[in-house]
Amino acid sequence: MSSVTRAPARRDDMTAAWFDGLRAGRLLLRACPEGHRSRPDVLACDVCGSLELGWAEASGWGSTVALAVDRSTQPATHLVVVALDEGPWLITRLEGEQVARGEDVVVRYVQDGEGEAYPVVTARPADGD
Amino acid sequence: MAAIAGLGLTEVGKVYGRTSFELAAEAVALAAGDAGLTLADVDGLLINPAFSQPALDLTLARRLGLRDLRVLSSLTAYGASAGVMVAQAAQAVDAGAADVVACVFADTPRSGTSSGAEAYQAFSLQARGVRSAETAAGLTSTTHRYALAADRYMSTYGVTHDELGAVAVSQRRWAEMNPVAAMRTPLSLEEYHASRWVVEPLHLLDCCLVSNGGAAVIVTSAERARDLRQPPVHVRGWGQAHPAPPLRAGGSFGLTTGAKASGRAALAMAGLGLDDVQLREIYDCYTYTVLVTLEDYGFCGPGEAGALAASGALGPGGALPTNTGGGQLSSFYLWGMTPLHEAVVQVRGQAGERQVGAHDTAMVSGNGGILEHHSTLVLTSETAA
Repeated sequence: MSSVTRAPARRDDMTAAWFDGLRAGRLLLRACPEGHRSRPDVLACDVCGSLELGWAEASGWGSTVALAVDRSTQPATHLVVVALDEGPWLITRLEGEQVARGEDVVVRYVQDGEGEAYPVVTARPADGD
Repeated sequence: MAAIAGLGLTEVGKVYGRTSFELAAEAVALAAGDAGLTLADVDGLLINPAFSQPALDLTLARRLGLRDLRVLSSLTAYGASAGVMVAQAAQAVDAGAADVVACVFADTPRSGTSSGAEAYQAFSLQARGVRSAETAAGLTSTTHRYALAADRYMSTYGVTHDELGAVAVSQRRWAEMNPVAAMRTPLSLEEYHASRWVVEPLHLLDCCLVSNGGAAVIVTSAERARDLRQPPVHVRGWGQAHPAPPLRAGGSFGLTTGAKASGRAALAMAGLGLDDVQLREIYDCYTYTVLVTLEDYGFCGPGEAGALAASGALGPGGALPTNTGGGQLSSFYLWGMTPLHEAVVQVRGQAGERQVGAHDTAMVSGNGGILEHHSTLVLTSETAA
């Protein structure tokens, strides 16, 4: 349990499909006709500016770019910027075994109470899971 | 060219029982009076609302009795707002749209029972969509995001906590000489290291204060300013940059900011170079922000500002006086009004014990969001104008 109040993940109109995907254990990204992938809340492709955006499933693989630790929670919360293999970065927390910057992680899905499901990451298993 | 002719600062810090509107009203009246003007002379008002409620809005004009304004807007670029307001006021004056423009900020995040940090968590806690997923994962405040930015910066360049701490120590030395600073007791590097983690790698003493208070400036033409009560502070250059770097592969998150482009633009408009800048008043929401901004402005190379801070260059007697009133870390936190206020006081030559000897040209930065919004002002004295 966290010692701080964490507001639940809540969908809005733009992210309904994203949260539906997370609930089903799939990490979706915005996808343009050129095949670029962008974060879920963009209105135009990060790479080419296209406004024609659909959704595409990401592999869930990535590596860490930056780490921070909030020790005011029990247990401490390990925050992480993850570079997804598809290009976009995910900001979330790392669960379980610690990793160093640049090491591989994999996306998992959690749900707290009545909130929406949201992505976290764990160290990438040695067998490539 | 336009000039800052008036400066108003209310009591700041643990100021309770007054709303943002009351503080803003007092700040505008103080600024007008400081210039030798009255509220009746004000024909333009730019308002920067903050997060705590009730936040400032356009009713400030009516309730302050400003009935014949020719320019009135509420605007925000978050921490970059002060510089944006002054630039827009200067443009209004230059265009003849208004003669005397007041720019005001006021906020009351603190209460008798809250240190005010909660007011700044609203953004995270009330979010929907992707940001709410990040909040649920544990990013419950702005500091969590800056901690990630600082980690990337520190790990990329090998910047140490001794170097971040040097910023806090240096600014405290300035604050010791600033009568309005909240934190005036000497600070050692050991005390910096001993301060608790807020979000590692940021200690408590890497983070700015949270203050209640209001601040305003009066912008008018340089000609008119010369006839008023205070030495004019000329608004010689300004710039904005909103790089919004995508969070993706190759992204510069944490390593560089819009200070690079806004600083370049402001100096170019002023027709000045970095060597001409005698004072640096840098938005210092965190110690780290000072370092990355100094690098983006070009006062040193990428990753070198930590060593600069550790050398003592930024402190009293140093070669690059920076945040000469103690900044947001040690004096008070009124968003971009903190560095702007100190720049005006210094350029006028009214900084008393902490007055920097060569004070004709100041560079003032604003930083908003998570390093997303930047403003720069280049301010000069009558001598340098």
